[in-house]
Amino acid sequence: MTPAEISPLAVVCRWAAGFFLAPPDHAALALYQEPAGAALLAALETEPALAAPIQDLRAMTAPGADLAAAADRLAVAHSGAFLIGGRRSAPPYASVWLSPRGLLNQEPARAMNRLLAAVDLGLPEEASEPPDHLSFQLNLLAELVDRENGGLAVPLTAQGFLRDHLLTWLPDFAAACRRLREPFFYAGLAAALNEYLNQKNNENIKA
Amino acid sequence: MSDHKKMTMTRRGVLRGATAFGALAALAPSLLRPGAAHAQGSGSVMSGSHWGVFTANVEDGTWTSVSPWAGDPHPSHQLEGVMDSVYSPSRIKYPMVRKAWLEGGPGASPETRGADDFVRVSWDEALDLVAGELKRVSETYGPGGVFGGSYGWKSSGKLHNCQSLLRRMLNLGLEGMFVNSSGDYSTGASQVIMPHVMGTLEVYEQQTVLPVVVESTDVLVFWGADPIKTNQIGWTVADHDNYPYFEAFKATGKKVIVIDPVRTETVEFFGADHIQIRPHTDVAMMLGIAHALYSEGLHDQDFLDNYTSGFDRFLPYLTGESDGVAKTPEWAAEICGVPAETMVELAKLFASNRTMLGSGWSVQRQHHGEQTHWMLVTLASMLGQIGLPGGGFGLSYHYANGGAPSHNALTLGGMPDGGAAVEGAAWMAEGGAFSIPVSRVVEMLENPGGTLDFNGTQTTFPEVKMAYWVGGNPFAHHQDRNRMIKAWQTLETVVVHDFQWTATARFADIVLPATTAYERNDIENVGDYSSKALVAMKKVVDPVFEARNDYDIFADVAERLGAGDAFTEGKSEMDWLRGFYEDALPQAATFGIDAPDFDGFWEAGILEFDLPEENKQFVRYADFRDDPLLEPLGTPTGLIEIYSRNIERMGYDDCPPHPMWIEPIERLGGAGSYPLHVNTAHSQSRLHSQLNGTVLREGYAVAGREPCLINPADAEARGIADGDVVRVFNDRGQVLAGAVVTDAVRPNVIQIWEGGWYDPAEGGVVGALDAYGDVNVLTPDIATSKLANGNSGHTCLADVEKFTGDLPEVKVFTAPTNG
Repeated sequence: MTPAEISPLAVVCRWAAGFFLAPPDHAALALYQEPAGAALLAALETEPALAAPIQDLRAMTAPGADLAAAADRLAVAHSGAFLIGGRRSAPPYASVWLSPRGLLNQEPARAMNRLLAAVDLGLPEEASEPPDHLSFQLNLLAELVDRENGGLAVPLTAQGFLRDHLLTWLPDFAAACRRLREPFFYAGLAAALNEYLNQKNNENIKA
Repeated sequence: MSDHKKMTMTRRGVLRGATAFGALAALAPSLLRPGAAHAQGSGSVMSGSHWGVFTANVEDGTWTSVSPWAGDPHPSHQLEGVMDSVYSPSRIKYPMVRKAWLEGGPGASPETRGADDFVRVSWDEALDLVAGELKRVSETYGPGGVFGGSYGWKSSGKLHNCQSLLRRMLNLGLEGMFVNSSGDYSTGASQVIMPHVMGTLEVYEQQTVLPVVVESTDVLVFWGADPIKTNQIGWTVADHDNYPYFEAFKATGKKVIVIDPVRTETVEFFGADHIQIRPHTDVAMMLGIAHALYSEGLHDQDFLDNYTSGFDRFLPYLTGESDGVAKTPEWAAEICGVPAETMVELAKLFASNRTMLGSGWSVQRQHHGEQTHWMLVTLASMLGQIGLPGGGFGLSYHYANGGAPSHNALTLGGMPDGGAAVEGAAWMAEGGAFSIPVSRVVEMLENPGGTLDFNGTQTTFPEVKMAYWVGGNPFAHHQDRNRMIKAWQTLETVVVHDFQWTATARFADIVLPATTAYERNDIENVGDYSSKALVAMKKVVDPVFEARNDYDIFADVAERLGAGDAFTEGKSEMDWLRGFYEDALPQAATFGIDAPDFDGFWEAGILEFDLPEENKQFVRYADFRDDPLLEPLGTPTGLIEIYSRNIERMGYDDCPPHPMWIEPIERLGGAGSYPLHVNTAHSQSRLHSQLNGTVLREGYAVAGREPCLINPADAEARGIADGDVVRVFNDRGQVLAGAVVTDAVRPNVIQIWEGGWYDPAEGGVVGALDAYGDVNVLTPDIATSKLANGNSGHTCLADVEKFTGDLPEVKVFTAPTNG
């Protein structure tokens, strides 16, 4: 992709996806103290909807900040929210929110497999999460945006995917994140993402 | 140009800067890789479970529906929950370690277990931690430091028997230096008293088969048993072969009597005569009937003379000659709440008809529970029908389809535990450096160095500092949850393998994600008693997340302990299964079984066996009755011991040498300060705590909680209406439940099923309100007696009130759409 083809929507999706799939470690947080990370934060900061998580991230990675402590806190928050279930958790899977019994690996997961096959993409080899994980859905959305911007054929428009596969459960997920026992960072990120993607949906993805 | 376009272009400009620095590749990379994944499998797979043989339909690699095997005569509705359990949001996804333990080391902040945060670690790190702890604890505290007596309803299968695998790893990796357990929670009292009385375990053995019962029994009694409900499940793979026989018995129109405080499924199925006994008073009622038999001259003195020992020592107690209290029906009526004339009628009915006294096990999971089955045998002996077709007693008609005739089957071995060979039932094995009766685990933790009397022996409790639990959920099946939480705090390290975040997992330090039985291959018998088939338990779907087979986990731990090769013997999963089958094949010639080779069996998926005609005629104790000298029982006298000199020699103050009515610590009309008895029966729609977190719950939950049956009179007195959330409480704890106002339960009795998932409103807090309804928050953790040390989970008084406080959400199942 050349710089001219960069889509803010795609960047936001891929950036947020990384946090939901796994919490950043000390080294990943340190990147935000480098010019590259600072440039990315500056770019993301131009999206008003993303203000809260960017502010959190800036605080965590400010000069002199204890990155190890921040990484540790993020790991605990991620684990409590997405890994161990139970009281006040927020499963990041479309199936849990969209299937009648609230189960994993239901029709939304199979639909993701079909869509990924249609764009000739697959989950990473080391992936142990199901295809309807929020992070993979965000990445597919980014891919569809990029392909549309590049004038490539797509089996489903980015707008259609966002509307029919992601926003069908993201608001409920974001609401659950607000009730997390340890809402640190992830509650704000989920709310911001929900607001941002709803805006994009309303704008018909003029990314 | 619109503002929107200006803004977008500005962002694009900034992003170009970010891209130039390489930020996107590092911090916003694409997670997807080029090239579609191979299409995952679709089709159907046959497998087996505690709930029966089934066919799983798989679509694009995911399990989408389940249907019972055509050979199942009475499929259980619980099968629907099996698939749910695989895809439960409460699956354990990755190896997790309690944060305080990881940071502070073993023993760090044990008081916060159950409330602490967990953090994800890699499999290698987790396995290093587990192996390191086994070494450290073993070296620091000696052979009593590690508890490996893990117990519970592990999944079906000969290979992936996680409890055998745990002991195999400890036997080989720690050279057997661990604390084991003996017995079980189901029949803790009976399996110890019955060898003294009948010379066998009795509870897990074949009954007089049901075709004989249908043909010859005139009066079929179910005493504290609900076989229509409990035969849905099996320890191996359920066959459900009892149900057609129950249908046949019902069709004869012969009498069925159910003695139970609750109008059960069995009462409804048979249209049975229902005697609503006061809970915990079964021995008194049996004595009342026995007294009526004796006083009316209806007892079989010849049988007592020829086949039993010690009736003469029991008789003075029955008549009151020895203690001044005749155990008359009137005396019994005061205790059990059943009219005296009913007991007299029963005595006459039983004596004048071929009567089968079938008993469940709830009546022995009580304080002094040893007495119940001993008295039942005594009553059956007085009737003199033991060993006759359709007469006598049976202790397993309700369990795993006991009484279904046995087929000529191949008998498979299982995974050896790497210790000394043990004869007899595996659950009685006492390997390891120490062994305790399994339900005394909390007492052990509370009292290191203390002593325990047990069946004529005295054991010193070791100082256990590490517990390793697999294939079980003690935070469901053990009594007195709050006492247990405190006892668990004495442990420095708790390791749990499971596939769901059970309460036991939440109270652990290292939690390892195990596969379900449907994500691996195994082999198992169909029918605990009938052995009607062997089923290839084929993997239905690939493991989810990072779940691994217990076998592989233990192999890796053993490897770190220097025993990897010894553990695996160089065999893969399929190597073991092939070996089990091929080792059994020589039996085929003996029994005339036309059995294919392993590959043929695996391809077919199931191997069904023939049912010989003579096996439909089996009468328990017929040989003994025919010739008690040549076919003696395994008791010291070779006879049924109504009086046991062995027990007399033990001198226990809570288990006399003949059956007696002994007041429990609490009961209706006896000791105890709460007005209601809590009946803790099994659920109609799950197996203990298994499948509680599935679609089945929608069929029984009330206000999202466990149902609490309460009699209309008791409900009215407390202002409770059907559907209300109620608080059930006593000095041991408090739970919420949903009221079901019904006369199915007798006055002054409530019923909450055992196995509800513990869901404390404040995790880890002793005394916290349980939001869902784990009845073992309320039950006492006391031994049945010094003889058996079984659990007393049916001994429980409490009170109920309408709950009017801030209602805590039930969140233990993590099903947002249901929440």
